[in-house]
Amino acid sequence: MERILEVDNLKISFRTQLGKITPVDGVSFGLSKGETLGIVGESGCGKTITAFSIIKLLPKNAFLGDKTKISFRGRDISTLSKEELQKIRGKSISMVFQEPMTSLNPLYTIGWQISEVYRLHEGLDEDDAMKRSIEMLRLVGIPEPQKRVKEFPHQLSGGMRQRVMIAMALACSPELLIADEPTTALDVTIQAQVLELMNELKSKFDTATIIITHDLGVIAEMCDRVVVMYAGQIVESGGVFDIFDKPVHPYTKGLISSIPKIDVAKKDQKKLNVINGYVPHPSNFPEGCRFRPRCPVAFEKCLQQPPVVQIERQHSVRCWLFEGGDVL
Amino acid sequence: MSKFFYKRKLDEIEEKARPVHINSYKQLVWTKFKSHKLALFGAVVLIGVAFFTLLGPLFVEVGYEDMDFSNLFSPPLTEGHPFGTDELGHDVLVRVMYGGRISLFVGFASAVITTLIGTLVGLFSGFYGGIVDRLLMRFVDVMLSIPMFPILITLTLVFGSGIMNIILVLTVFGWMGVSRLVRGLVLSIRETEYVMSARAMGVRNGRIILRHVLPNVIPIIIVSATLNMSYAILAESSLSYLGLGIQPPMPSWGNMLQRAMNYILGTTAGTNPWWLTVFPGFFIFITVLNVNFLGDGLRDALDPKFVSES
Repeated sequence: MERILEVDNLKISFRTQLGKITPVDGVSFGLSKGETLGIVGESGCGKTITAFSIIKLLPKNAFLGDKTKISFRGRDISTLSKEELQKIRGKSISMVFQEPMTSLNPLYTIGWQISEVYRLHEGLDEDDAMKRSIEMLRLVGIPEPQKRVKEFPHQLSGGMRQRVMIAMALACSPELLIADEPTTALDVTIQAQVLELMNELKSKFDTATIIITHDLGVIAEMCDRVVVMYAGQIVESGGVFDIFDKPVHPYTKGLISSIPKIDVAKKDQKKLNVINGYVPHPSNFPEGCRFRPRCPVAFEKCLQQPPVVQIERQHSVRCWLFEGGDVL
Repeated sequence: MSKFFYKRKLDEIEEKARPVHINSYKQLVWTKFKSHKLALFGAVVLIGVAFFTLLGPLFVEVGYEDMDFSNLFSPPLTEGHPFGTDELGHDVLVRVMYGGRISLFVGFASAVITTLIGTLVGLFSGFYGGIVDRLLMRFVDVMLSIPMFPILITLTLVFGSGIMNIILVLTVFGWMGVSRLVRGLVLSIRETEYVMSARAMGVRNGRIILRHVLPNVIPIIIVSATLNMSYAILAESSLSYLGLGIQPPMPSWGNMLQRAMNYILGTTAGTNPWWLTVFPGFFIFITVLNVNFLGDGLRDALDPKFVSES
């Protein structure tokens, strides 16, 4: 399979008033054509900035580590000029953002906003761009697209707007789609529709997709492979079935058992399982294993950096509990 | 009440409820502006005032310097002097017309220039942030800390007083407020997701500023421009009062008021020439008021989310 994206040893640091902080450290993953990768973790564990770093949308005070290498279709992103980057953004790599309510400019009709992508990347004139936009809206399942293109974002519901965002992102049939919590702000029923739509379009365009979410349900629905992040590191990664059926890292286990289920009215379980505590702030990561302070099974060794151990062919974990396995 | 009445009422409601087909932002703005009665009124009054001051003098033979010595302190409606005359026999109507030209010009020009400079500085400062922002905003602080009047007095002594100097001074010392306002707004717009997503679409910085940031600041800019215009008209009056503004015999609404101050307690002859203050005062009042009406309407019309009832 054709390798689209390769992120190697991603380290993102910020210069701040508190000194240098490094919220993402040593994250590596790759993506092939048509494949869907899920990045999951609690809020504040570095998922979003990992995604932003792929298209170099990090804030100005951010910088990448020396050994970090991000290559898109074999080209190192860091060597690209500003103009080359602008050509890639929106055309080869595009993003869907979390908040459909605020991701569209309130002053322009949605038709204008979608056709901006066409005018920018395909040099179409206004009429042609508008025609293509109508086509795209029809594709994402918006009824009466000819009428809808003339409407302003505030006239659409949240689900509609997220469809518009998806239409914008897929307008130029990108090779890589990054969806940052695409369904978090939507109702459950709308969530299902949007996910279904994304699945459909993904197979239609054969787009490689990265889905960032803290919703394990979305991951189960959409992804081929999953990366579980905690405090800026990958703690476990594997195929979607590996992660759901046989999670090994205490954090992954905790995440999965803290999903509320309707049918769990078991007598022995009165309370929902939770992982106690919070994700530590990047200026204050604990020594050794970063999950140690919250880990139910932590032991002495956890005061040192845990190794990344390969458990199965595609399943690896960063934990001292599996020390015996093949260290990566 | 008859069925017929209800039917008509329903038709009426139906008529009102029929969706308006709006194809572009410009059309939306115009539709909403038209329905904003007060703003429309403001626009009409301002156009009226502008015509009055620009074209009015063409219809009278008296100049603003001409004195009618047989009519000093004549009350309004004296023959040949509908607004009366002042202590030197100047015709008040004619002076209000000529004075309006100057006041409106000073107000409009300095409002436009301060708004342009302020917006530009605010956009750069807010959008680029960092060192650009720090330098520009420190410069704004410095400008704000300089007391305007000593500099003004010096400048008038050096360059003499005149319309252009007044506009210069009002703009040099007037743009900081707008720039701070715009900067603050741009700081928050810069972080919005639609700007983020425009970036992720590969839109250039220049285009983001022009097409995505600027239009979102315009409602605020317009309101502050209208306030600036009122402020400039009033500031010109106070400058004239200090003898630094428009110098007699050239009239402006401000210096007409200032000269009338001498007679506010009545003349030596015992009359109270109220017309000397009321007419220029009235014109300042309706101009400033209607500029604000107009600005209010424009702001509402420019915001697509704002749709008022009925």
